Amino acid sequence: MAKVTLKDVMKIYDGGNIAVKDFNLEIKDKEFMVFVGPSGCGKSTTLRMIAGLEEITEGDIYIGDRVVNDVLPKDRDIAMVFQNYALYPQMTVFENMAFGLKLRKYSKKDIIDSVQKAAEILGIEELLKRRPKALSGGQRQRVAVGRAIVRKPKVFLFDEPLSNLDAKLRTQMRTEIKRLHNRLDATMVYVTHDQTEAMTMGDRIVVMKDGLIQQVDDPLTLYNKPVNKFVAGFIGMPQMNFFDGIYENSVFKSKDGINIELGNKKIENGKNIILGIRPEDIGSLTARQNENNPVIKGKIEVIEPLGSETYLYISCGDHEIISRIESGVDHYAIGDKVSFPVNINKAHIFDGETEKRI
Amino acid sequence: MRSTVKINMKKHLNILLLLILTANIFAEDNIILKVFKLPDPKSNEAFNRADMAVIEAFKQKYPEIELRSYSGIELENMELDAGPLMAIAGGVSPDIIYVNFRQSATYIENDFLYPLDEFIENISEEELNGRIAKPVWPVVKRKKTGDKDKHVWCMPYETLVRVMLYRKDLFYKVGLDPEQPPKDWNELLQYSKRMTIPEEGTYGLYLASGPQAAYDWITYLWSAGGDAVVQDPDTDEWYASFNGRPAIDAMKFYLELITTKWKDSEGNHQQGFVIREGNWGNLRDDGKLGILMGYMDDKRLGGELDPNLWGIAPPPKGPTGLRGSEINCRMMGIFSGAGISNNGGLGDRDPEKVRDAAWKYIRFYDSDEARKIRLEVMINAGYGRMQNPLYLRKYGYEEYLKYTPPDWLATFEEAIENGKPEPYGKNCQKIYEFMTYPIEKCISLEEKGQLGDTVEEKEKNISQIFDAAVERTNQKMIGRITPDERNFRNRVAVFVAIFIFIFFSIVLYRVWKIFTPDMIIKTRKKNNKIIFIATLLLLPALGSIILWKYVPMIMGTFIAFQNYSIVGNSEWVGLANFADVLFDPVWWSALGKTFYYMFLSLVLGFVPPIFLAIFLQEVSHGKMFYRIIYYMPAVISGVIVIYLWKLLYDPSDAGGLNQILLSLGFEKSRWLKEESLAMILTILPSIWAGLGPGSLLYLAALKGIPDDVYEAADIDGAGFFHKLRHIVYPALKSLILIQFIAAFIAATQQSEFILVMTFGGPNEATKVADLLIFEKAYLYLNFGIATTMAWMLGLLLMFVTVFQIRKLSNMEFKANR
Repeated sequence: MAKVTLKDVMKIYDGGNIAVKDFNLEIKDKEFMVFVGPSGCGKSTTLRMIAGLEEITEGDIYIGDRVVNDVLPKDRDIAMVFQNYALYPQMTVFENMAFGLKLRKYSKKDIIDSVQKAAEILGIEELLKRRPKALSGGQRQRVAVGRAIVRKPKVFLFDEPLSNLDAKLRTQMRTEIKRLHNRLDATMVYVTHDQTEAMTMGDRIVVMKDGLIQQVDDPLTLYNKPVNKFVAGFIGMPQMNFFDGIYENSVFKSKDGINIELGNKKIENGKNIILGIRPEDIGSLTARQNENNPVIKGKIEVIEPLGSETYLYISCGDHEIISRIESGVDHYAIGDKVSFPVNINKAHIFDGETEKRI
Repeated sequence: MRSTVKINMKKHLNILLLLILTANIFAEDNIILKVFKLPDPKSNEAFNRADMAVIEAFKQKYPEIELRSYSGIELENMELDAGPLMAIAGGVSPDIIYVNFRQSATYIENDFLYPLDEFIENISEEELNGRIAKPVWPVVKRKKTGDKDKHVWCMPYETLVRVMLYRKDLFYKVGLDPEQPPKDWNELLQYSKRMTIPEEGTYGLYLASGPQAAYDWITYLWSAGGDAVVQDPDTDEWYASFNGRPAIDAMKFYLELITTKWKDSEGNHQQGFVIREGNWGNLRDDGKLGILMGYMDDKRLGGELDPNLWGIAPPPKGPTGLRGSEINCRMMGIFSGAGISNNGGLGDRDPEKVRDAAWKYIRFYDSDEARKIRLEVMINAGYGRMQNPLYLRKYGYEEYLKYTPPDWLATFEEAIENGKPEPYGKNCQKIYEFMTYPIEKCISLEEKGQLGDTVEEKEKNISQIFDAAVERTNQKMIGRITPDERNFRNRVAVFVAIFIFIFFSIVLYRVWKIFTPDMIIKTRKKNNKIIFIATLLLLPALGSIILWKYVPMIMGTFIAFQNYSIVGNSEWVGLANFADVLFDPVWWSALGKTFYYMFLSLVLGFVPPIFLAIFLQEVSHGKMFYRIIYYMPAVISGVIVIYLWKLLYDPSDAGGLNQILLSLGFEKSRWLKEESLAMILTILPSIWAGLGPGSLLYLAALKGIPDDVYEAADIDGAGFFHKLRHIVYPALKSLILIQFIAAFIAATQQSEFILVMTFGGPNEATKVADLLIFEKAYLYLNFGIATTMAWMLGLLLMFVTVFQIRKLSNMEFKANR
């Protein structure tokens, strides 16, 4: 039973900077929870508060049913993996992993068994005698993870553990950590600024901005029903296309002359709205299926072929929009004038003032 | 037109030739004379002006002699003793050197002085006796070891006697008759008791303390019938003699004066009736000090003392009825190398002419003419009543006679008549120090109640202590060794020398190995041009290191095998110096103290900055404030640091630390004068000054440890000490080793702190090897021994350094992991 609960948690730094406010969240037992957001949004601070490395200014943090506000990190039954690995440079891999157990007065045999087992899980058995400086980045991160898992804590905390690795290794480690989660059946809290990592790993994702939770949901809900423009823009690659304009008689009208038929919505005439359309909903096969879909006209500026799909950067009035289409269907060249149908059923409409979803 | 030019040219040439000619004549007649000290033309002090007038008269009388003042190195308390020797050693000695009694033997034995016999022959007996008081003759006219005849070596220019000065108003205040100064020891003790009133801050008597404490004691030794050193009339050899009955009597009396315990009117415990430390000078000026010993000189007698306030009397009689008045002279001698080995920057000078000019100066400086000039200037400056009545009468100033108390002249003349010259035997510049040792030991034992319970026991112990001190003096100061002992020492020396040679070779080999890479990479083609340029660039540095470090070192090595003499021939003595050093307990004890000093400064100077850095790292608020506070002392220059701490260590009530102790109700301490404390106290100032910079280095290294490592350790459950052991220590390890080496080297080179703060005292408690070497070289002029010691010390350090170089060469230097 290791759910983690944060109730009205607030963190205000000495200078009066508010890092996190009104943070309410329940992380379920065995859940893989990801905190995502741009830098400075308070995600790492929240994680460090859970770890006990950062004092909380207000509110309560529970691990299981226990309030841990004043409990020392070592007594919270957590383990943490740091972005820079934070390995002890003068100790061997074995010693690094064994250090916490030694301090907790485990027997020698238990220590060897635990370390051995963890090393097997992570495939680092042959590295046990080396020192951190003789390891590659990926190996170091594995050791850092190993150090976390030998203690069998209730909660694992990951603070951007993959951001120092190259792209390929990152993808590989991503799945490994995910597999580890399935295997260990433990609660994991994972901080990242990378939305792909968040989407691929998290059971649920907390999107944060300026110390506030924007949305907590499973990845697909986040993708399909972002609660506001920020979440919509943050989740999804390439980013969602946004158009500022007004709603007038079922039609979205932007200042630069883009008019898109939205159909009848419960929106008062003349209201400022933001229209959000994901790149795959412009010009793709699905968008073309419905002949009634409205059309956006523009000129191709840049083409990025990615193999299975192609990104087209299209200038359209004052806007530059991205379209994500299947490769090999049609051939385009830079400078081509195109008119692409928009899958209007999947369009997102946000309030022009509050940026909240309508 | 053309011819006029020619004529003009001729004319110019003639003038030029004439100029050159006259310049030559001028140069031939002019002789430069370097004098150890000339009066300061900027000083307006009356006596200095009188001296200036004498010099002016000399210049008028001998216009061909150009006087130059020598200015040399100045050392605390040492300038008169060591300064001239260092100047001679450096080849920049003045032509006329200052000579005092206690150093005279050293000068004579080392051939520094040119005998004055040829000059003295032509001088009337009256003039000579006017210059040289009767008891002073054996000092100035004596044999050099091995010579058949006696020679006159130097000439006094000022005669002084040590007499008793007493404060009439204080006498009057406690009901003593100001016209009846204490006549004997018993009265001296009684008077001191009466005048010592701690509640009012008055003291009966001042007695010197510190390394020169024997300076005052010797008066009592003489009064008890003893002497510091005596000369065997048959062998002319000197030996120490400050033991036996006279020493016991003098010491017992001293102890009575200093250590008697009593209670004052307020019931406080008091000890003794004398003041030995602290600001006795202020007490004297404030009229709170009853009696002290002081010099009277032939020129001014009581000097600036006011006859209404001050009385002058001969020292009190001892049990033998003798009065041990010290007689002393300031003297001048002609440097034997004058015009020969000290001509640096002066061009060629004819030695005979230089000596002749020097004698003229010496003779004139205290001649009738000069005395008269001085008297005139002093009288015109308003000091007429302070002059020697003899001179006043002789030079026609009778009207001032009435101002000088008649008993002052009587006291002066009696003191001269019965005076004992200050010890002037072999190496006597060190005699006070050697005599001080047993004195301080007796005082310290008596203060602790360990000198004995009965009079007999005390006498026995005092006797033993002084016997041992005399033996030590004979060995150390005078250097008496039997031939058998000498043989034995030489044999041991040979064995040890062989061992050292082998050891040294191994060390050298190791150093060579360390600095030679195992594999020389041959693949890269040598670029001759680059090698040439590199060599060229290295050359100046290499050259200066060889010239200033290695050449002197190798030249110095020769000195170690010689009985080195600065002037004249040095004699090869093989391993004798080495043997002497090996068997010199003072050397081993000094070496021990060096290591003790190094140990203390490493423990105290090396470890605290590490912890300070760790604490500074942990401090959450005001980091900058603390860092500045700790760094500040490093900005203060070394000398100021020393003097600052000397003020703190002042052993009187006014001393900084004592004020704190006293205000907290503790007893005051003697600090630097306390044998057990002295060493550590000399180290503290440099530790204090070095703490900040040291810790900053570690702090920088600590900053290199990322915070998340500490956090990982927090989560792993590590406490403060675990982190220290497993995170901080490994990160600082390289720096610690480098700092250790730096601290080690610094510890071997910081004896200047000792030099300035204690000069090896008290009782040699801080006499480290460097200081002993300095002393051997510049106080005993025993350069052979000094060089040998320096080499032995150097070898020991070399061993440690090789070890360190090995460690360092194994280390990787990286800014980050």
